[in-house]
Amino acid sequence: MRIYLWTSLLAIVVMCVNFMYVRSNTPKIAVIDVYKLVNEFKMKKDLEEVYKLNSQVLIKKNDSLKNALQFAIVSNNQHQIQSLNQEIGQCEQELSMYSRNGSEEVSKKVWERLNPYIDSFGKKNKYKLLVGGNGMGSVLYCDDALDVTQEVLKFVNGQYEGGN
Amino acid sequence: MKVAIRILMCLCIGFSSCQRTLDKTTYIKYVQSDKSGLCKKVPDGDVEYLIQCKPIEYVLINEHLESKEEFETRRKELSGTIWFNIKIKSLKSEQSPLYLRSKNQSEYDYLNDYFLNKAVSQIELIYNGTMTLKPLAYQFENNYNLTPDVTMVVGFKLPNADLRSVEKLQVIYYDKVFNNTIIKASFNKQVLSDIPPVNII
Repeated sequence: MRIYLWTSLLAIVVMCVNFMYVRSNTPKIAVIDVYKLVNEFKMKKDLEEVYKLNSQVLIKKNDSLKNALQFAIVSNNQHQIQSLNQEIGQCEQELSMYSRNGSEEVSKKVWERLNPYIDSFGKKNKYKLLVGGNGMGSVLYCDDALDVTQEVLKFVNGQYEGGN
Repeated sequence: MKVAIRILMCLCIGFSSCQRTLDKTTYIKYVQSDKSGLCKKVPDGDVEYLIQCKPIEYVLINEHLESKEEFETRRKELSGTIWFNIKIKSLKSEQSPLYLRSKNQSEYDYLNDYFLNKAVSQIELIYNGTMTLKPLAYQFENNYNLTPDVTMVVGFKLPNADLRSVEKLQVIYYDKVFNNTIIKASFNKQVLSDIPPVNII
C-alpha cells in the first residue's frame, strides 16, 4: 500500500515537472488585431483632432479671403482682386494637399510610435512572436486565448499618456 | 519583552517612513536617473524626446549659488514653480536634430526660429488632470551641432507650491513643425512625493 502511494506521488511530481518544462520551452506566441489597435490608440484620435482643427483654420482663412474678394470686386480694386486671387489659389492648394496627405501622415506617425511600444511590450512579456491580424487574411483563425489586443492597447495607451 | 518588541517595531516603522536627506551630488544623480520616474523617454521615428522633471532644488543646485542669502532669494523667486527639460535627440545620426531635418540654411533658420519663438505656444502642463497651465518661462538651447540633441527648458507656475500635494502632472508638447507629433509625459503623485529632501547649503 505504501509503495503504491509513493509511486503515485512520484508520478504526479514527474508529470508536474514535465508540464512546467514543456510550458517554459513552448514559444510564447500571440495575435493582435491591428485594425482595432490602431483605431483605439489614443495618439491617432489626438492627431486626427489636431488635423481637423488645422484644416478648419485653413477653411476659415479661405472663406475670409473669398469674402474679401467679393468686396474687392464690388469696389473694382483690380490690384487687390489680383493679389486675393493669388492668395485664394495658394490656400486652396494647401487645403487640398492637407486633406490628401493628412490621413497618410497620421498613419505614418501612429506607426512610428506604435512600433517601439509593441517591441517593448513583446520584450517585457517575453513573447517570441506577435502576429498582427488586420482582416486581410493574414490570420484566418485565432483562439481567444491567443488574442492580446486589449493588453497591448492598455500598454501602448499607457506609454503614450505617460512616457516610458 | 513585549515592550521591547513594541519599541523595536515603532523604530522600524519610523526609520522606514523617514526619507533620507541627500547630498547635492546624490540628489542630482537621483533626479537624472530612470528609476526616479522623473525622466521619461518618448521614441518617435528617428528622434527621441526626453522629458525631465526638475524640482526647484535641482535648479538651485545647478545654479551654483555661493552664499546662503543668494540661495534664499533665489528659492523665494522660484517657489511654486516646476521646470522641465524637453530634449530632442537624434537616434540614428550624430547630427543635431535641426541639421537632420533641414536641407539648406533657410530650412535650418526656419526650424531655429520655430524653437526660439513659436514652440513655447505648443507646450502645456495639465495639472491634476483638470487644469491646463501655460509656460511661465521658456528657453531654447541650441547645441549648434556639437551634440546630437537640442533642449527646450520650460517652467510653469503651479497653483499649489507643495509638490507632495500634486496628484498628477502631464506635460504635452504639440510638435506641429519639427516632427508633426504629440508628446506626452506624466509624473504621478508617487513619483513626486518620492523626491527626497536635499541638503543644499
